[in-house]
Amino acid sequence: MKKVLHHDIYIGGILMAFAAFFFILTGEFPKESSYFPRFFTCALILISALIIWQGVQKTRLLQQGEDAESGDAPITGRELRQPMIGLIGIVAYIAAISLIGFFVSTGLFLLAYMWCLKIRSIPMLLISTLAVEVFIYVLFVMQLKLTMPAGILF
Amino acid sequence: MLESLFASLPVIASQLFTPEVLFALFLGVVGGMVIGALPGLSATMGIALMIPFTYGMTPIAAIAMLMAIYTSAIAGGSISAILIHTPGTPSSAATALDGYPLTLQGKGLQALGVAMVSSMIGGLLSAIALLFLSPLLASAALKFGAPEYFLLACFGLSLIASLASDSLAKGLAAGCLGLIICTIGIDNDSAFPRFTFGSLHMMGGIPAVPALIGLFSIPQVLSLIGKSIERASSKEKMEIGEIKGRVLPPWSEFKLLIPTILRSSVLGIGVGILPGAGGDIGSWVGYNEAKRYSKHKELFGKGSFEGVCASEAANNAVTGGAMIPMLTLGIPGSAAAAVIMGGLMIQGMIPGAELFTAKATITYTVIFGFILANIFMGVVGLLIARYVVNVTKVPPGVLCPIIVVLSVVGSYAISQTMYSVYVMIVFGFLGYFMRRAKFPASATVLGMLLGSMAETGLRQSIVMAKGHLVTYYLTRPLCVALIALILLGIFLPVFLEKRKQKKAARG
Repeated sequence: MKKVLHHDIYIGGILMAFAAFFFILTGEFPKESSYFPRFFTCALILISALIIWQGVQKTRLLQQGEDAESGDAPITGRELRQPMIGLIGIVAYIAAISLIGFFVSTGLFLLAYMWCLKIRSIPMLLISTLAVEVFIYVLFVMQLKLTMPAGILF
Repeated sequence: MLESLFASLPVIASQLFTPEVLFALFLGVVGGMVIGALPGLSATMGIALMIPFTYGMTPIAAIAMLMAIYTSAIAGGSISAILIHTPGTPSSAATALDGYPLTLQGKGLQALGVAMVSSMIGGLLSAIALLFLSPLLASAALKFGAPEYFLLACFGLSLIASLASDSLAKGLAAGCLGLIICTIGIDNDSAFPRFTFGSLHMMGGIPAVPALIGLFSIPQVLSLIGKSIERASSKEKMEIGEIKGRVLPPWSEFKLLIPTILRSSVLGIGVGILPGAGGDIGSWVGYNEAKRYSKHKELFGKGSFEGVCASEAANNAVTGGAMIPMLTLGIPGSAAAAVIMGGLMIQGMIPGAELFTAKATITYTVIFGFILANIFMGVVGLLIARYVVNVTKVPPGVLCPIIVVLSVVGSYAISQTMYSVYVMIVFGFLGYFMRRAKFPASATVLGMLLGSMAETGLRQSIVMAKGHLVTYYLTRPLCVALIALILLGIFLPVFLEKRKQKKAARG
């Protein structure tokens, strides 16, 4: 049977590495500035060790064929695929804001994202996009006098 | 402090009944109800998204609107819970147990009416508790010094760690993460840049509001993606229960619900005061206690008005209760209260005794605004609840990108730099995995909000203790009491869980 490690082991490991890295950085701080971050990075290292240990227990239970508690089933790559693609889309949108400006990138993002989420009604796509753009323009640009990022276009 | 309340009533009234504040309350009530009715959106997320909209408002209008959104979103969750068997917010999960069966029996509109009135009464009683208990707690807080504030922050975090998560270790880890994140930036005392990695932006620290927006909005969107594709592919139509008949049960039936509403409201206020225990815990406590005291236990789960009113009165009573420790001690009683605290601080209002002394008229006006919001909510809810449910027909595929755009704009509006947007998306990524792996984001938020208070308290204590920190803490009675509460907060749930496991093994 394929060995499946419970995600608590990975997450505990990442937290421990994060805490250890930050603890090492506190070596450069003046004494008074280092107390607080040192205390809580050490605390996080210890707590992460406990989380890893709990992850090992859960892995043993899974290997014995016992079901994980509802909501605590191991995270699988398959489960992460759609959310991570969604996140990449959001990151691409944010990157595009600086390149082509807020309103153009927002319009393109709304249309593309809704299309990918299987919204196929053209009136709904256009009306939703227009409504959001107008709402943001009226409230943030006209009322709150916010200057939205402009890219190479406008 | 209460004397100043009565003396200021004319000023409070003149500040409250202005077009700006009344419009903000109305917007908060209607907007909150719509947000609450939409399954997949939460009150906390709605408040986080609305904070940027409050920048151009006066403090009274801004905070009153956020509190109106909070209470109305909790009430709005009952609409979809009753009519489509899908709680709009986690706080309405208990309402769905009896609300939907009532809809199937043709009493959906009456159930909605009972839910709205119970929410109004629960919210109103909690607002009155907020009005009278807060000044008393604020007076007690005047006796707190730096050592007490450090321990208070630890107490708040320990409670949230144990209550907000099934795993104490995960709760504490989330809290520690928030405290470490809070140290990023220029140290206030020594002006030394900590964990800035040479970035000018990071010298200002991690901005709280974009982090909050990221932690609560983006994970919601990422979780909805799968559901929206599934729903669009199956061409599933949202079936809304039939809505007809009278909006409330006859008075002879309704008056029998009043003791349940009052009991649940008191329980909800108590739960709300506990940091980390939000509307979801409050509604289950109210529901379970109502079932225990009911003369018709057999009806629970099959269509009991008592079940609906208990859950809704309790979950709305949590809203005011959660504000009590937030306004007086800076310890939010729920995740939503933590987000509102962020909004409060943006308006220059720092939680603590000052809110009830130097800024008393603003604070009391906001609280009276909250009382008014609960009344509006009851009236508006009775009028429009049957129509609000139609918002659930909006496909998640349309909602998701709109939430993302509002999150980006809201984060950008803080400082008009893309840095805030980058912070938002990083915390969004973090928040998704925290949610999936059951690490409570509310503990991280609390750590970020309380970190400065905790560190300042600790450093001042070290100076005052002159090298004998432990003895110094143990010689202060308030500190001893807080240490005992911290240890109780951490170890009591562990002890109770072990006892439960032993009983289960024996039985």
